[in-house]
Amino acid sequence: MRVFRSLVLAAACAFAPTAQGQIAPLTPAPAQEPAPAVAPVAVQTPRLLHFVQADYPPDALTQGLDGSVLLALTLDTSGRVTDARVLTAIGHGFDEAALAAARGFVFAPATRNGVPVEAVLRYRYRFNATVARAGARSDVRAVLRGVVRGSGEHPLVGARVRAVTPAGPPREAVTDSAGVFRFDFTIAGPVTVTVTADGYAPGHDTETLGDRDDVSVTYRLVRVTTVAAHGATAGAQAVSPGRSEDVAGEAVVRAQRPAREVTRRELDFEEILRMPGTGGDALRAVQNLPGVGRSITGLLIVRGSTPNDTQIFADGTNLPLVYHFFGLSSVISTELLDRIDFYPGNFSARYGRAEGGVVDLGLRNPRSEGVHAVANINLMDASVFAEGAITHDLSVAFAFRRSYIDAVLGAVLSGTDVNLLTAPRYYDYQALVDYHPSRRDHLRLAFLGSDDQFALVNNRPNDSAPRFTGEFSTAEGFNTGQILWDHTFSSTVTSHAVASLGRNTISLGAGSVFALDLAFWQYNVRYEVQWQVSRILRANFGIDLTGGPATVTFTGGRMPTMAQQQTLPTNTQSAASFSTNLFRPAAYAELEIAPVTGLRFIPGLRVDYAGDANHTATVSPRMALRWEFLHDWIFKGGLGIYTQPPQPQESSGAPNLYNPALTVGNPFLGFERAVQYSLGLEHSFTDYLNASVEGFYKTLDDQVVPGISPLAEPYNNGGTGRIYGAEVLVRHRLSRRFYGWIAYTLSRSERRDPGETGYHLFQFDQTHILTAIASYRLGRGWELGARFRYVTGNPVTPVIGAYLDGNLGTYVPIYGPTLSTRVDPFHQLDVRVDKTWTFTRWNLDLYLEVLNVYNRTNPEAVQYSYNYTQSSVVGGIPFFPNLGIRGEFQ
Amino acid sequence: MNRRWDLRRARMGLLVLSVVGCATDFDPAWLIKHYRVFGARIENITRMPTDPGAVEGAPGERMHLSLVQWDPTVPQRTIETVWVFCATPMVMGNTFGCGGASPVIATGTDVDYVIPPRGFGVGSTYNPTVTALSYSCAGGSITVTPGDPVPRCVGVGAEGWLMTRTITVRTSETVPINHLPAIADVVLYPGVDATEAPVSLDPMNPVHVPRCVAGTPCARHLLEIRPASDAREHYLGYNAAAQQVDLVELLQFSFATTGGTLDALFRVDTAQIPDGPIRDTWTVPSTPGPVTLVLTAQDTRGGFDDALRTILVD
Repeated sequence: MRVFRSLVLAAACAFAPTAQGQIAPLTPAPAQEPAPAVAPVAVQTPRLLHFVQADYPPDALTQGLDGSVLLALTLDTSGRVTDARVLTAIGHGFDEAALAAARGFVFAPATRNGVPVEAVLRYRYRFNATVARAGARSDVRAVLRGVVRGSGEHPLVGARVRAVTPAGPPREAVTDSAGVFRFDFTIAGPVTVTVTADGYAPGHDTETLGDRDDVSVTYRLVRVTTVAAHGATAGAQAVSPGRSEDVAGEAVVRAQRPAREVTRRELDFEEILRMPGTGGDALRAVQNLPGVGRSITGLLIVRGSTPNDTQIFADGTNLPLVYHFFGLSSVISTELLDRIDFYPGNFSARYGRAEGGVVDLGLRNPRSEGVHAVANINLMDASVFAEGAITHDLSVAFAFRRSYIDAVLGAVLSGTDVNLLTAPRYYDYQALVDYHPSRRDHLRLAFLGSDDQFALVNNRPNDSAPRFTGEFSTAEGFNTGQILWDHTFSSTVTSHAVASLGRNTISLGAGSVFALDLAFWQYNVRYEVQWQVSRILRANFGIDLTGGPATVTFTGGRMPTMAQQQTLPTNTQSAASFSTNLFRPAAYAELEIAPVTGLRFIPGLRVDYAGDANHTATVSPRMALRWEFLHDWIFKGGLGIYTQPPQPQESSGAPNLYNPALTVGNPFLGFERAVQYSLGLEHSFTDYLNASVEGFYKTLDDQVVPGISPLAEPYNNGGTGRIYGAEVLVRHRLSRRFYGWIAYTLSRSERRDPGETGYHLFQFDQTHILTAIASYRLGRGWELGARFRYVTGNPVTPVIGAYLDGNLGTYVPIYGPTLSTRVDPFHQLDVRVDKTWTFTRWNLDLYLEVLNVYNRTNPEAVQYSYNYTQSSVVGGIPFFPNLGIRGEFQ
Repeated sequence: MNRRWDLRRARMGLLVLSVVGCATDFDPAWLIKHYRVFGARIENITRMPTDPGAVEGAPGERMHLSLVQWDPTVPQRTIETVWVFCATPMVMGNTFGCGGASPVIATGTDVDYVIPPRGFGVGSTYNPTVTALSYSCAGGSITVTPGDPVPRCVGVGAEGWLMTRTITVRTSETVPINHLPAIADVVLYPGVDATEAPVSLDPMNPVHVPRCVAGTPCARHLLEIRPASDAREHYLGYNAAAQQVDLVELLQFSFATTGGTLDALFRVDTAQIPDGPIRDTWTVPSTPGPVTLVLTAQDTRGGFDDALRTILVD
């Protein structure tokens, strides 16, 4: 997820003829099109003459970390590097190593009409642990591989690639069905490459391979007819510009180890930033991935599970809140995210207390050189972000966002019976201090916070709920401090520790009907040791502890669970004020076994304990497998047990003040449990295009459901369920101009309550979920994107009649079979247009995002007249344009 | 720990949206367009001589239930009403009736019921209760079909309504008894600014108002329900901090009419405007004739009172 965000730089880099890595001049710009007839300018970009091999950071090599550091190099007219700085830092010692090496580079200077000129160029320094290790233990010292493409970007099959080195005989390769070729060299140095294919002009280039380099290139050939039509200039284009690797596209390469999970979906920053319909919000972008259901309120519905079955982490710290009001934006700035790892199921033993999925947000390290700032303003909110280095080892970052929906809604409500007490608004902040005290240690201190406030007075009682009058209020927030420590004990043993302490609060009120106040001092401690036992075996051990004191007061009806039927009674009054001290430790162990190349086998075991789950413990064995059985064909599978403790109010033994003989919860509740199975296949058709298909099956046991009688246990573990389906993802990663994907999920989620003989649909069941996203860079700073979604309508329970509750004067529906019908399907088209202006030190992006372009009334729910004799659907977001501007400075 | 609250947050969001004006073009609740049941007035007959207006009863005491209803059809149709009294809990939609126990059945809009000695269900606040269920049918006959969770009103143009009502059973005389929130008077202020002297709406002598004439703005008047001075009673309950405190009833009033338009069905003397005037704005219709107003008051603890008034539109 580490990326470079400057469009102009990316565009410039896309045409750079290079030696090793990706080189792109900033000034002067290279000529890309046939020179105009008037005042032709001949520009020669810098060419690397002397490459300096960076020292691979030993800790990173031990951990098997790859990475690429994007540098900005300033060259004088002699081609020497006069200044070098890191544009995108990735930590782990890569940045320093890349800088040190790049400062020793020597280039043939850039020229304009044959005259040497100064130039600033971007250089991507790559680190590849596999190659580095291979070089260390075998005779392979460098790798050159890539794709040959023709016009229209399609891969050229059967193209002949000839590589000539100063020493050794010429070598040849023929591209495969994906246009891919590869050479392994036993010595580093310059390589002259010639690419030929029938019907195309041959292409020539020279690559300089450093020791232990793994260079990936794309050559583009020009059709002979095209050359003829455009004359010699166009023909020349066929030679050198073949090297058009896109910097933005490459920016997704980041320091990471192979996944320990069956399925991990990653999003690229550049994709997120301009993804239609998400407002550039990273967590909202997750909702476009396979396996994620649609929710107007922004809840994460993963593979048919309840939203609270999915855990959200920020570097190991459980976040109590993911989105602000109605999912308008997430509570963590996208600018601060290094990665979003989304695990729809069968996740590693390092994660627990979740039956559904996991979203793990990685906060990035602030850049270690220079200053970088971003400001973003749109119709919903405004945000600022800044980062910079204090010293070489110490850097900081800060982000803040605040909404101003209050002003909009205040105007809407003016003159009605509704008065705002607290205008709806949200804000969030993040502050990071990053410190590298030694080569073996990395420390980071983070402060994260969020606050949502909303209160209004409704003076006009609702016709169907007269007591829903008076004050409605909601206040929700958290403030958390987190410290992270990465330590390298030796070349084979590393550790990762993170601890956090924060206060989470919720306050909800609805007239005289319901009130809730919750305050929770939550701590999280996670410590993991990773031990590379041998080349084929790696062991991970860890502890994972969370808990803290919480106080809860509430009055109102008994709290429903998400899985309950609508026909179960919930209107019995509850009132309670209690404190509890949650204590939920866990320990886990996991092995990563790679007996042969391409095969990874990951058994794991996790033990969870929860004092609030009747002091019980669960043992959860898990297994994952990834096997590259053919080149770019990966088979994957997983099997495991996943448990989740009940919610505190469900397991509380505090007396119900309305009837002290009863408790508000059931203190004898145990863990909820799921068994997850998955099998899948992944294939990369090209460097950019890949596809995956995965089937999943989940059984749910011991689900918490409300008791049938208000005088019996309020909740019990009697619920069961099953969820099954398949996910397909066809994705074109961000290339020079285009990215997009089609995600499709077919699933069925069912539950069975106590006493039921068969399964009924679950309220979050969505049979078909189709998301198609595409974005294209038109050139001259213009980018156009669109997103289309189709989702099966949510199940609803039909109302077959109603009766008057003579005690309240309101009508109560009589339901038919539970969730036996559906509202109409949801489909919506969103578009986004960006226009970017690029200046020397900053760029400006003006964007317009239009939601629901054809203004479809998508049914979110069914609403009824006061006595349920008339009904209509409640529509979702109508046609909504959102205009914004984003400036980035560096 | 608080992710479970997400759903409540979402539901609250949808509710707020509906509160702030996402309604559609349903028939307004204040318009009596069809046969309608408004509630049931309950009084303890046994205690009436010494404690009129009590709405709770101890085992062995006789309760009187009076159905409050109105049929706007002219001429008014025959109303058939069946009452079912269940001492055991009842879940609507699953088991119509008394969940297997033998119910007590009565017919007519006004019935008496003697509270049995034992075997009660519980109400929403865990008090022992008896559930009274009425089914009223205008212009037809009541039919109960096995397998159908609700009774049906069968007949050409027939309309029926089902209603539940609970009778709170007193097991201790140390708790103050609840009384119905009596409506002392209903007045009409000419105009909407309440500056002119109000006119008391006498059920025996209807007031006359001019009808709305085309081309001129329709006259609007304020209707005001005046509860008795002791209508709002004190009781022990729980506040938002879950502390048991002495609370004062929040009364809920409803306005419904067969003609003209009203601003709203309900008015509630909320904590924001305690003891404020309970008013609704009535716009006179353009059609002359009698207009019936059905006005109710509830304390949501079982107390219910009603007032029927007629205004003659000239």
